[in-house]
Amino acid sequence: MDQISFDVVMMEILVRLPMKSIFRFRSVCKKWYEDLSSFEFLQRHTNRVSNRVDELLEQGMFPDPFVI
Amino acid sequence: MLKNLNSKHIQRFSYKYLPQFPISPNSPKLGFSRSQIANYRSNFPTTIMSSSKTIVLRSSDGETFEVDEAVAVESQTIKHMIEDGCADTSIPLPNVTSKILSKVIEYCKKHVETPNADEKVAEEDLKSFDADFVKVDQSTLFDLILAANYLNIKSLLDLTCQTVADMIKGKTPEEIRKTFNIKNDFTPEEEEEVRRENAWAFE
Repeated sequence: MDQISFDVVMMEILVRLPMKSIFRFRSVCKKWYEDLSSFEFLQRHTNRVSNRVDELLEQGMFPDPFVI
Repeated sequence: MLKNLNSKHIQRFSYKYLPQFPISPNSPKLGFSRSQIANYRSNFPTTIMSSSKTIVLRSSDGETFEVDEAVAVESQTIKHMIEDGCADTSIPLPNVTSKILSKVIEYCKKHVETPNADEKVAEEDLKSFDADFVKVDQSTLFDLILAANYLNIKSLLDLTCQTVADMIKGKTPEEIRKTFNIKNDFTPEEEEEVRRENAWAFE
């Protein structure tokens, strides 16, 4: 798998991680530090989490946003 | 220039010469949006493709797969190719091998065949199918993610990515490096600084 495909796959996976894992994985390597701190990534991640939290709230649960 | 026109050109450009529907003085003269074409087609049911049509997909290694159109359009990418009239003979998928394409087709077939996931039994059946579907090695899983991304199949992308995400979310950075063969290019001081910035995540 070439680097670009790997990056695409990795982005799709990282966006679905909980916030705690995102913070922890910043220390994996410099590239991950930049990617996981970038505005675009955090914006996309936060949107996903907030939509998921809304879904769960509708179902009557009280989710922890950092663990979703 | 006319000599170089083939049937594919004519097929692609012919929709430009269809009358717009409805015809009005304010209609734009050039270019048809997808919704305009869909609207045009929906008012002419006799010209629509029949619902039992099959689509031929060709993998990167030249293997062909014949699938029902209803299964093929689980992929938004293929759906748009069909709508744009590019699916006359077969649809080439140069980014997907036959091994992965057969798995993707298996997934789409199952999800199209299961009518309404409202029924408990059907929902449980689908859940267990999904759980078994992702019991593959990491390399295949990554290829499936890439294919689901390229073919734009949201449910498959969610399933495969969430599987990997759940596998790795509890790992330490060192375990992550081992899993994905990533080199640590931080100096010990830099790494310590980053860990301090994000200290609460290491508790």
